[in-house]
Amino acid sequence: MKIIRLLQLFFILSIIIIPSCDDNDDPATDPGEIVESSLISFEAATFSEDAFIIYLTEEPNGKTFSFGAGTYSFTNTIPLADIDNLTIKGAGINETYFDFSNSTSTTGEGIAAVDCANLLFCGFTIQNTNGGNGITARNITGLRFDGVGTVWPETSSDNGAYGIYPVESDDVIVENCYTEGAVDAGIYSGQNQRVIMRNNVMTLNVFGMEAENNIHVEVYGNEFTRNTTGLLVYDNNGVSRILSGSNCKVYNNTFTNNNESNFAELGSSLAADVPPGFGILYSATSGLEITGNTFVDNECGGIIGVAYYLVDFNFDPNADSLFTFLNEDIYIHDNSFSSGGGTYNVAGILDRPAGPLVWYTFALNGNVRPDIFLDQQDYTAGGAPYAGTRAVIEESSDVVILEANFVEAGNNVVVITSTSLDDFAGAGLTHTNFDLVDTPSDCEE
Amino acid sequence: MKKRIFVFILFSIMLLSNSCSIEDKYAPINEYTDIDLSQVPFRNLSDYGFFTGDMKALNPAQGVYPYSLTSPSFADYSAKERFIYLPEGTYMEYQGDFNALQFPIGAIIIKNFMYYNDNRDKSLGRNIIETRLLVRKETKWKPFSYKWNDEQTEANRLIVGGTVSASTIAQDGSLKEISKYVIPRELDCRTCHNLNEEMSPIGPKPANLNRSTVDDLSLNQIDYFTEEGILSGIPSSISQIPDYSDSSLDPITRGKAYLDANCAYCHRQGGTANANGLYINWDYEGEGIHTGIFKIPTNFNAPGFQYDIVPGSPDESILLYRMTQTEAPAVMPQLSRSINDDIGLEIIREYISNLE
Repeated sequence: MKIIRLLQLFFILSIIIIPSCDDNDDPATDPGEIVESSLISFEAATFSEDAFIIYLTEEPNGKTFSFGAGTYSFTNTIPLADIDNLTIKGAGINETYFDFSNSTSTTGEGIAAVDCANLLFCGFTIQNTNGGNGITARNITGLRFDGVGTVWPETSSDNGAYGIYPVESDDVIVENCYTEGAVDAGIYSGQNQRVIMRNNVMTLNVFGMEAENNIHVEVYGNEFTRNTTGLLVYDNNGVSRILSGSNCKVYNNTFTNNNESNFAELGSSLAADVPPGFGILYSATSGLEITGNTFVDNECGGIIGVAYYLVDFNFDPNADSLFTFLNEDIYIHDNSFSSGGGTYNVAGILDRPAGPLVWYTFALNGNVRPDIFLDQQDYTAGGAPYAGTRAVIEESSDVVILEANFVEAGNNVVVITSTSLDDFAGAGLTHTNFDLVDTPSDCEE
Repeated sequence: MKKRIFVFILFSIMLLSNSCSIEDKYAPINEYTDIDLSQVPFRNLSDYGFFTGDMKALNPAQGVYPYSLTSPSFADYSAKERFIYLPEGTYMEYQGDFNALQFPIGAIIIKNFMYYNDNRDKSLGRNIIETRLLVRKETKWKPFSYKWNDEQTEANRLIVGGTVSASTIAQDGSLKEISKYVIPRELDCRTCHNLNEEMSPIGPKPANLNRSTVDDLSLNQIDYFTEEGILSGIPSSISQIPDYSDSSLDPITRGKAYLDANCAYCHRQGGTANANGLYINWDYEGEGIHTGIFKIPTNFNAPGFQYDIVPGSPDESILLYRMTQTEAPAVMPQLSRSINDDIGLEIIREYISNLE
């Protein structure tokens, strides 16, 4: 037996230390034999971050990386680049945790994917990234998040800006996800084409979800609870791939009690500017249909729609003629509101740059809070008048509406222009259905 | 039992016989370095045969050409020595003053990162930290990274990156201590080396190569490459991005050169940060929001700030603020800088102060 043990030892050592000119047989720099399999399984107790990184470097195409239940501690961002077909799956959103408390990543992200096709993330939660996004995915064709969590357990201004952040991508599905603690938006979609965000739960983020400069979006079946504001739909000026978003439908979601104090530090982001208390905020966007949603106890109102001036008081439409800074083709109908009518009661409203505007307008209207709160979109800039189209609204007669002219919003000079639903009648532009190329989900296997 | 012993012995012999035989080694040094692309990446830097004699002297073998840039990027006060390997009989092609040269299949761009003990007197010695390779494979560029040993006799491939500490005396005589110089993971290379969805070289573009050669200050580098027959298609006149360390330049020119070298590999159209719409490459000709002036950042909340650049007000400009930060997520650039670039901060302060 002793001889056999010695020979076994010699055999093992010979694999490890004998040098060779073939470059792929060194276990210190190479994953080894199991690279042949398309399924690579990890367990928390024996996990090696370096081994995982080597897999991702050497031959990631077509692989499924499966992580058993438990907590996996990472020291750096997980990088995915130039990969065709890859799945990262855990044992469940409440079973498998990727923890970045000890990460020294200089981007602070949990996962950063770029220039890939057909990525699937499912069944795990990313927690405590060091200041960056939970998952950034840029320029991906075919992207699906199914049952992924991103969590910062404390609401701190040092948290990551976004939980799930697909950008410049095509055919994106975000479903059954959970986000908490993002200092900008829990789930973000920016400059993407064909996006579905459904059946997610967002809580204790500044924005629960954000759709920015996308073409073709559906947002449905989501729960927005106890964020500062539930959902932001807007176009940002000066981006690259999609200058003006269009064709977004927000339906059958619930917006409940989105009144949390804004925990972003005052700064350059729109998220930092918003006062708490709204279900949906939209701005500078075109082609938005909002229907079938339920708004409960959002203290400042269910929906607020404003032109880009609220985002940037110095915006000059003459200098940026390509940017549509007013809202166009907004259709709000058949939603359920249970907030409007009473006096508003939300902490921290005056702490934020956009807060005084809200406060002042409500005060002007006898401290009655609205269900729908709109900017008349009538501006003069550089001598030229700019007037947007009114939203088309079809809601029950008890819905409280408040429209104001925010011409000189920076100086809080506001004029109430309508409180009557009758002024918003018309033929609403409905959403155009689109075909999304579905990245198959094998998360249940 | 005996059978198992026999199998073990047989396996061990097979493994031993699989190790290096002498003819697998790189070519003799007096001939053109011939690298078998199908074998790349090698485990050791010496396997490529880029350098002759004592490897740490970085004396290039035949087929390996030193080059330098007018305006190199800052990387924690490290010094860099750059080379291009071209397979025998191949050459690079011009694709525009501001586009990286087109390289033949099999070309390898070699960048050595090192710390001189004293940048004012290079004879006082240096320590090479790492060598990064960009290899032009058949269909795409691939990055490979090598970390030098303490003895400076060899560098071994390092996929997973790491950190080292270093110190150096800068040109101005100040001691710079870098507690966490980061050797990037190979996968991190793409963060910067990315153009229009593909891995891409950054430095070797004609406007950045338009200077004297490494060895002969009277010889233009591009002319030299052309005469050597390794560069084709160069027009009669080409642009030059000036050396931002030249304090005689006007502040706007100097600032633009600095931004091009240190920021624009991401912040250009088609770069990694394309989505943000900030284009600060030397050759961007547009005006207005994409230059950063009164541009609200797309995805970054800078506390107390509003715009990337407020002309005339460097202290209100996020661009400068992020250059003073060293921690995630505020630090810019996101890789390659763990301490501040004092000269760069001054250049950008002057640049913004002089913008109208």
